[in-house]
Amino acid sequence: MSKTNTTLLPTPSRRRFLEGLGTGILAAPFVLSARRTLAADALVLVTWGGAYADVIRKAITTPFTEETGIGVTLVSGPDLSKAKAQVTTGNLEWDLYDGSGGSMHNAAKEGLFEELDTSVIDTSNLVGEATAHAMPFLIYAGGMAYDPERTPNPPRTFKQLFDGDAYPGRIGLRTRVSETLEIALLGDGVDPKDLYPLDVDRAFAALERIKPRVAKWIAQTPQTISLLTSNEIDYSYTYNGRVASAKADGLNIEFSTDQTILMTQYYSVLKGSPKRAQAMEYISYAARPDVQKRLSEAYYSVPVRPGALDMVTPEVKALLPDPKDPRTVLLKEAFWADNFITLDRRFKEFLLT
Amino acid sequence: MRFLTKNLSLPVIVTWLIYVFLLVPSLVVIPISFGTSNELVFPPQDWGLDLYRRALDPAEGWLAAAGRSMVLGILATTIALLMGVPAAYGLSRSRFPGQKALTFMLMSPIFAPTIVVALALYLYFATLGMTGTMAALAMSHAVVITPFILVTTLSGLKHLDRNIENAAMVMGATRLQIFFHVVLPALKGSVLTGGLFAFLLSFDEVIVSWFIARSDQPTLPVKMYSSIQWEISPVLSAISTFLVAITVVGSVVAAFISSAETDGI
Amino acid sequence: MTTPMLRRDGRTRTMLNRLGFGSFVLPLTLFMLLVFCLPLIGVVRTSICDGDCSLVAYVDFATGKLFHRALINTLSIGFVTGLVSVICGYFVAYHLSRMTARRRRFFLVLVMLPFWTSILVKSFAFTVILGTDGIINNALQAVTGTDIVIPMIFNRAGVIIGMAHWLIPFAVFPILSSLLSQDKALRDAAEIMGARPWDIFWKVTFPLSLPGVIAGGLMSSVIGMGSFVTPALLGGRRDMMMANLVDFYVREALDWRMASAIAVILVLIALLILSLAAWLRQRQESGAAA
Repeated sequence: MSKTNTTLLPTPSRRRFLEGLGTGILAAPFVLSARRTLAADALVLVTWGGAYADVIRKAITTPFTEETGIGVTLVSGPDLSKAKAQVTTGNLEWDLYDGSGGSMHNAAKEGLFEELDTSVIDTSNLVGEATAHAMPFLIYAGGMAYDPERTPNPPRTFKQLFDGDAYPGRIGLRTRVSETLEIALLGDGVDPKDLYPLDVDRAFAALERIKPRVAKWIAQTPQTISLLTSNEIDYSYTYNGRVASAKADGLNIEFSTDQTILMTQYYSVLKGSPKRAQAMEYISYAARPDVQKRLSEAYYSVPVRPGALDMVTPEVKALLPDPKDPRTVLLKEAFWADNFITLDRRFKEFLLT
Repeated sequence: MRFLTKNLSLPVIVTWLIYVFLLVPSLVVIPISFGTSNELVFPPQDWGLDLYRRALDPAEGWLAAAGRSMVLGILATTIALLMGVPAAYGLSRSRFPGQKALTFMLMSPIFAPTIVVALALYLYFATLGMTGTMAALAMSHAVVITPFILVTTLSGLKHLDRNIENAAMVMGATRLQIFFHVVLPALKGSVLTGGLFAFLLSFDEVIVSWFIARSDQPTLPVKMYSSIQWEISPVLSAISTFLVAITVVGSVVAAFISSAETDGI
Repeated sequence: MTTPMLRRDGRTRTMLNRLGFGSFVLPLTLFMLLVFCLPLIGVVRTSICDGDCSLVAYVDFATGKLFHRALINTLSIGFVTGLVSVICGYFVAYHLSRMTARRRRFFLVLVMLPFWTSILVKSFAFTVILGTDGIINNALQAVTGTDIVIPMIFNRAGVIIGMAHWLIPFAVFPILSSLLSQDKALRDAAEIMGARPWDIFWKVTFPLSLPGVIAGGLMSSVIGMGSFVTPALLGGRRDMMMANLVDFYVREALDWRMASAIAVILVLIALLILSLAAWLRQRQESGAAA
């Protein structure tokens, strides 16, 4: 791995090129390590802002600091390009990265992450799947949401969704190739257990059929809720936790747990982090059953440790999809790690034509 | 005006429709800002000031982000004005070979897509170890907004009567004196409007800031985007309404106080 | 308008100017060279050399269907947005040019008001206004008594509306400045000679404002060509633009060579359009002189 890294990362030549042009002089007075002013001993975790950060803080980082004395600073806006630049220039601002699926594996290939220390982190016995560089800590479910007042008889599985005669209605799908190809195959009648490796041609053919009914291919998650409530779409592919929080806010919205796609959110440690050991400790903590229980109750996530599901309160458990349900699909990240870039391109071409 | 109102009613109607088009989205946001839900809802089911309370709560960080954007906007606009206004003066009052090319180079950030500028500056400042510094952020914004200062100042300079400058020169004033005592006072209007426009562009800018800003010190737009993976917070509607209200009140007051009737933009 | 003045000043003055005015332009020139041109050269370099050096990204662009579609989208959305912005901007600029400076300043603040509202909430506001169950369609249905629905959002129209909303102020400025620089005496003379307002507008005012119109149109289309947030929020599936692809290759695929190559092509297109406009103008001017 490390051998390929050096050829992939263009640091020395790029740096020399710029310095050669004498820019060091201009910059000298301002050069400051970006992390100098962050709390000296705290781990820096880059994650999303807003309500999500509140959940992470409450369920994971604050109790972690109380227990271990290791501080965690949450900063907003995970962005692999920034991670890449930090690693290639050696100017690390972050220690821990909170990322999802395919692009995360892509980043691991680029050599952006440390290998997980399996003597600290138990990577076996998981609902999801750990890779050499990324540890699952949160599993959320994608499925169909609808307005129960407007749509008393909604499609509750993807197969029903694709049955336009029985369930006519405007659909909202995502502009993400992963998830969407799975939906297409399930809609076309593929048995969840035979899903992988994906029959890509069949998936695109199925998508071609449903295309006219898709009122909006949604790029940003908030629109999966707002377009449903503003009556622009009838069936929205969205996420259980997102629906639960909208519902708690009094919106007329329901989520079908009959058939869902489970997606995994990962933690990775940035290559060269000076706090590697503490970061591994944090990751190990985040996946602990009691922490997973707290996270699940705050976020409506499926615990990554199989046993933890039984610890969750019945009210929350009722809203969670059952990972053992044969209709449930666990998104296979290994498949996407190899195929994400090429399939994404084909998917974009599909959207454009 | 006379021409429009007296003789052509259709253009007048169209003009006002365009004003309505420009303002309506901001107006729709106002009622949303008085809702109590955590979701964007129009019209709100319950009314209250919760969103304003949250916008002003220091713990939520919106105030700090807004303050940061203000400081950044002022810094970047100052840099842009300090370099842009003299440059416009120099360009408009001289002829030299390659002038067109130089003008084009100075204007070119307008014509480079923001994502390109953002990527370019990000790689550049990352190599210099400067990403995340206010200096890098202010310089990046200055690059993006200076061309607009150039445009408005150049057009303001076109309206100035050059005979006054010539007279001053004949009487022995240096070029610097002319610039500060003759040109600058007469340009006040264009510089102010150009400056406001530039400030707003900086205040609204998200793509460059997303790359350059330190992740624990987001600007206001970056903070707004940082939760897009989960929500578009209705707090944004309160912030927007608040800013719109301040601007309208401020400009009405300014219009009443100001007595200068200088022409130009 | 400026050339007679220069001639009267004489050659020595021009010489002096050449040296003296340089100091006014120098700081900005240096700044742009260091903080804009140099980074941009870095992008050009990355588009060819990222680890190893090759032209694969450009070859890929030239042969990929995805890129051709995105290119066509970028050009057509940029063109239409520029056109719409200029037309709307003209009405506003004309209105502004016929009022007192003090009033104008107030109205300019109004024109810039949309900038205070983030596109994130604005996109929701547009859904409320333009959606199938939105204010306009509901009003139309109430008035006509039918269930007519005009699709105005999540399609090309939505992108144009959203972008024009943002770009109109960019078009207003140059048009307004060229309207204000016109000599009012010309219009008055035409009026005294009995020309009708409509004729005065088309034969005097509009031709004289053309440079501003062209500048405003170029600026708004080129800026429009570089945006990607609005198309993602308000557009349909077919409205993906080159800037969306740059964003994707930078942040998700981490393929900076491809991202840089698309970026370089985007800048080249802008350059091409600008030189074309400059060439047309020069031809027009020399044609008028002959």
